[in-house]
Order: sequence, then C-alpha cells, then structure tokens
Amino acid sequence: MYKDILRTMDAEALRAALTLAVFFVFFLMVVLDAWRKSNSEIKHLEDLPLDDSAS
Amino acid sequence: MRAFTYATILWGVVGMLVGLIVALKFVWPDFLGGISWLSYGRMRPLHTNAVIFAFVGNGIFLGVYYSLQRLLKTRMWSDGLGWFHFWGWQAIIVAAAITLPLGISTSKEYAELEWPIDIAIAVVWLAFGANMIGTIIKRRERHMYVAIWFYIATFVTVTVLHVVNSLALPVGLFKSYSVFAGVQDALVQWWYGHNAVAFFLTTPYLGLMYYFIPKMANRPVFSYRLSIIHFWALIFIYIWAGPHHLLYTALPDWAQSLGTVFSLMLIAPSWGGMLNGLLTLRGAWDKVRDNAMLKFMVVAVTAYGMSTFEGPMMSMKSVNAISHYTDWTIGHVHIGALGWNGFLTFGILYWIIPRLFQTKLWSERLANTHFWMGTLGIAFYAIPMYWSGFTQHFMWKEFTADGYLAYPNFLETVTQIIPMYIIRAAGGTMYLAGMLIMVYNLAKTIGKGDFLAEEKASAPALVGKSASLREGEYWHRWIERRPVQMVLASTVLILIGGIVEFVPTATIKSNIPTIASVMPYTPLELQGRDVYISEGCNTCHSQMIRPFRWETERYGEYSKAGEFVYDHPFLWGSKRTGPDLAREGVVTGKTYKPDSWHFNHMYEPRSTSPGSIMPGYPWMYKAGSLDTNSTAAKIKGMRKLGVPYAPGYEKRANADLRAQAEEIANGLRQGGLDADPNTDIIALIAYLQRLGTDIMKDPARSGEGDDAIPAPGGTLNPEALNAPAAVPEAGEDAFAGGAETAAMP
Repeated sequence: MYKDILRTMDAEALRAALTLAVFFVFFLMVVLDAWRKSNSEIKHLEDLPLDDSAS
Repeated sequence: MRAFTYATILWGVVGMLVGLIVALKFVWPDFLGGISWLSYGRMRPLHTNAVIFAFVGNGIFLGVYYSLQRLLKTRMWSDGLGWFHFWGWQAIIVAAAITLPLGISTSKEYAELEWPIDIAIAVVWLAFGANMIGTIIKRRERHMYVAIWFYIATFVTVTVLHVVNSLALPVGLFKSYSVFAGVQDALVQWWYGHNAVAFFLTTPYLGLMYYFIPKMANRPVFSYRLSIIHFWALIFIYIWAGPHHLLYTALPDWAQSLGTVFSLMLIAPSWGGMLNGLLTLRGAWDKVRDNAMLKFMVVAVTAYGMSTFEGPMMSMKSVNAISHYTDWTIGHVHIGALGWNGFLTFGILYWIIPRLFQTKLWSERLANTHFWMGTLGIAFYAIPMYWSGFTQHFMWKEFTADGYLAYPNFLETVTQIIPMYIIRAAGGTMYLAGMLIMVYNLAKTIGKGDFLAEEKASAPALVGKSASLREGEYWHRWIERRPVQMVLASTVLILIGGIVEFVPTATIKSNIPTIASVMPYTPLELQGRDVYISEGCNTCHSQMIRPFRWETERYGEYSKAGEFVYDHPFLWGSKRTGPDLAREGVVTGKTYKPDSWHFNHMYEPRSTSPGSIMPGYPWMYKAGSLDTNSTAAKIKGMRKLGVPYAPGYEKRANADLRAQAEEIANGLRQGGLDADPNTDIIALIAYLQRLGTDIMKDPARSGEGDDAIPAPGGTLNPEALNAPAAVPEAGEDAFAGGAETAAMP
C-alpha cells in the first residue's frame, strides 16, 4: 500500500520531507535554546503569573 | 472584562440548552416539531456555534483581557476598541442566532454563517488582535510569558483560517457559494474545522491554563522550558492534521497520509502541555481536595489529555475506519468541549468573579455540587456515545454467513442505539443543571460584592530597556520580547502546513481526476441543493461512500474525486445519523427510492420508515416556497466559479426549472399525491434523484474520464431532465464546455 501512496504523491514527497526537516531543525533549535536558558531567567518567567505587584 | 464575564455565562447556558434540545430530538423526533426554525438541521449548527464562538469565545476574551493586563503590568491599549470588540462579538452571536434558525447557512461545519456575518467576524476579530498587540507593545514587563505566545498564535491563525475558509462568492444578501469545490473545498474546510478546534478551543485555553493554574495553586508552572518546546511544536504540527477528517474519502492518499502522520506526532506536544498543567499542582494536591476551582482545572486538563490521546488514535486509518461517521466522534468532541473548555471556563469564572467583586464565593458547597454534577454529566454523555459509536460501526459492517449485509436496513442500526441517546440526554441535563447552579452561586456572589472598576497595577514604563539580544543570550530571547516578530514567526510556521497540503491539491491535476460525464446541476437541482443546505441535511447524511465492502454493498460504488468538481460547497458530511445519500438517485442502485417515497418521507418520515428519528419538513410543501428569484444570480455565480453553464443561460434557467418541476409534480400527481411544482420539496426531490447518477449515466462517456468507471449493466438515468442535453435550445449547448471539457474549475 505504501508504494501506492508514494506513487500518488507526485512531487509532494519532497515537499513533505523538506517540511519535516525544517520542523526538526527548528524543534532542535528550540530545545537547545530552552536548555541553555539561565535558571534565574526561567525563575523570573515562571513567577510572572504570581506577581501582581506594580514593580 | 465584566461584560465578557456575563456574556460567557449567558451564552454558555444558551448553547448548552440548545444542545439539550437537539439531544432530545434524537429521542423524540417530534419534540418542537413542525416549526422550521426549531428543526434539528437548523438547531445543530446553532448549538455548535453558540458553544464554540459564543460561550468559549467570550471565555477566551474574558481570560485574555484579565491575564494579559496583569502579565504585562499595563492597561489594555484601547478601552474603545475593547467595547467595540465586545459589542461587535455579541452582535455577531445574535446575528447567528437569527440567521441559522432561518436556514441561512453555508453548510460548512463551524463556519455556517453567511458572508456579511463573516466580514463582521473578521473586522471584530482584527479589533481584538489590534487591542491585544497594542497592549503587548506598550507593556511594562519586558518578557512575554508563555500564555501570551498562545494568545498571539491564536490571533494570527484564526485570522488566516477564517479568511481562507470563508472565501465565497455572494449571490445574494444572505447566500454565497464557496470559491472552492469538491475535494478542494473539503480539504480547506477540514483544515479550518480541525484548526478551529486547535486554535480556538485549544491554544487560547492552554494560554489560560498557563496563567490560571499557577495562580490558583499559587505555584509556578512545573517546567517553563517544556512550555517553550511544546508551544512551538504544537502550533507547527497542529495545522497539518486537518486531513484526518477525510480518511478513506476521495481526498488524495498522500494528503490523507500527511494528516495521519502529523496527527500522531501531535500527541507529544499536546501531552507536554497537559503534563505541565497537572505537574504544576505537584505538592499542592491537598488544595485540590478543598478547592472546587482547582477540581475543575484538574478535570479540564485531564479531559484535554484524554481527548488529545484519543484524537491521534482516531486519526490512524484502521481506527478511523471504525470511528468516522459514528457517535464515537460525538463522544470525543464532547470530552473536549464539556471537559476541557467547559470546566476550564467554570474554574476561571469561579476564580475571577469573587476577585472582580472583592468578595468570596457565595457557596463553595454549591461549586462542589456543580463540579460533581458536571463530571457525572460528562460521563453520562460520553460513555453512551462511545457505546453507540461501536454499535453503529459493527452493525454497519456485519455480514451474514452467506455474504449479505446482516442489517441491510439502516434504520435497524438507528433504533438499536436510541437507549444511548436517552442516557446522553440525561447526561446533558445533568451538565446543564450544574451550570444553572453555578449561575445562581455567581449571581449571589456578585450580589454581595462591590465591583472593582479600576485596579492600580501598572508598572513603570520600560524606559531604556532594549529588546535586543545581550551577550550570552540566544535567538529565542530576541523573539520572546518582540511581539511583531512573534506574530510573524507564528504566521510562517502555521502557513507551512496549509500551503504544502493545499497548493498541490489545487494545482496538480492528477490529484483530482475529472470525469467527463459529470455535469453541472440543472437549475431545479441547484435550488434543491440549496434547500438541502438550508435544512442542514448534511448534519445527518453523508455523501461520501468509502471504499469498504460494507459500504459499497450498502450504498453502491465508492465516491470519486471527479464527481464533486461542481460542488460549491462540498456536502460530504461528517456523521451518519441517517444513511449515506451519495448514490441516492441511481435507479438501479441499492439506495434508490422513487419520487413518491421522498415526497411522503419528507412530510412524515415515520409513514415510510417506522421508527425513524428523522424530523418531518411540512414547511417544504407550502405553495410558493420554491425560490425562483435567485436562480439567475446563482447560475451566474456558479459560472464565475468555473461551472460551465453557457453564457446567458441564466435568462432561461427558470423556464427549465419550471419544466423539470412540472414533470416531477405530474409524476407525483399520477400517483395520487397532491404535489405543487412551486414547492421546495420538488426541488429537493430533483436534487436527491440526481445524486450519484453522473458516473452511471452514459457508459460511452463515462469511459472518457481519467477516473471513470464502467456503468454497471449500461444503466441510463431515466430522468431525462437530469441529462444536460435536455437543457439547451435548438442548436445551442447549454453548458459551454460540454462533456469533453467539463474539467475542474
């Protein structure tokens, strides 16, 4: 069945594969960035909803 | 914000009440019967629109206005725009509540509203977005908390979805035709439909979850890092998943496969959000025991987890073969709507109202009662729907030892599940009763409180604090502080999926093979099709036979993409409360009924089908109900959209319409029925008798198309009026292209 699917995809296979590649590269960048965030900044961001002060 | 709070409560009760009425019609089809504007086909879209756009919509705005100002430590950018947004949105809801019961509908699920209202939606939505982005720009907190990213993604994506799916050509003040046809229209509609779930019912509520759960539990979110990752993954992947609503249909296989793959991938980011929400409560579960608000939030997030696991499972082809068209889907969406959206909204209302009115909740006990009634209501709603869904599927596909369908009469599969509909209605009643308790509790809370009109919480302006990257910072920090870049990044990400899926379907001819014998509808059939749309027949009847033996045995030849090239809009449907109608008009077919059967059935369905739960449509028999004033505009409109009617044909379209109507009425009169050719029922019969006939019509011509199939036994449609050759005057083709050039518009 997969052969039929591939046959009917025309040039779509390439586009979809490229898109997946774009996604995974972007995803890895996001993961890397999230990983490298400093703990102090994360703490500040986490606390934002809890902080109702005007400072 | 106070106004949005009241609107959320009001429309929540209205939307659920309409839902209950609709549910009761499954049990007592004559309940509120005989009144056109209260019929099932018109009330069902009213229910879905009221719950999604009125209840959840106002809930989103309430939560966004509340949390945005506090997270950014500033007032909304424009009070005037806020009031325009509020009153504009309420006016749209009222317009929907008037037009849908009047039968003014595009037929596209969750996008049924006609073009003037669509334009109003776009304007009001942009006003909301402008106010939100204006507020973000003038913020007094440098960082944008993750909830705000979800709000931004919601705004940009809903804008794109609404504009593209609403592209239609007006042919009257309250009538338009989708610019897309058939398969393309189906793809666009379910790209929209699925992402309405994603970006109207999910992403804004995730944003609200990220604000309100930490607030209620007084604990920071479990993992901010996880929130970053799951946000970007979610908005990228969600947009691709639409085709899973069209598995095994005439949509090209590659598009179906993409929909399945991305739907399965969706589990990861969805559960990332769900776990982040639940784990925020780690160490605070003692509060859940005592706090009704948190109970609502926990069940809401759990329901989100359940439905986002179930959704990808239902997107697998083997599972979808079971679930599609059945009540399983109804159970699935109500876990999301009642559990995730409903309960999260209730939790937020219980949180916000005491604070807005500087008091405590009037009765925690009543809130707990509401919680348990709602939870049991969801269980009593969903479990029978799952049971019913499996029952439907297995009865539809069961064969006898001799190879015949075990339940050839579709009605048997309907009467079998009526007990499930009774329990479902009981569950809905419990849920609504719980809401009424909430209304009482909140009204009492408001009554004893004192409204806090202004809250002084603005921080100092961000003077001299640049949003630029500092040494040691990374690209994401740059995006996080810049709303415009955030908007652009989100837009690019959500457009990728839509473009990759839609452009090839629209541009590569081999994706939609044409069939030479497929012809445009005659004027009477076109009017009949619009009656079908107006009455919401597509809410219960599909027009898409999947390539399974149990479907082809019951309904006939499976549906082909090329059969729908003139269908503006497509009418494949998504649920089979009644049987599929795709081959209804094929005389030698398995589902064919004579005109007289339709005439009697539509007036009183139980006269021809004892036990049927279909409502009667007596107003379609009213003399003069058939609309002929719009015929010319409709023909012209269709021609503009690429349907090959000959230039000038609109001038004599009504003459052809009357001739065909007279012939059908005469046939009925000969059978002793009191038929009037100037009635909607005659047009509807003409349309139904046309369905599925084109590819069976002419063996010689049906062999010309790329996707044509041989007509079984060389059958010819005896309805001469169905053949376009009957339409032209001497020496002139009615349809410009003729059979050979009747290509995809």
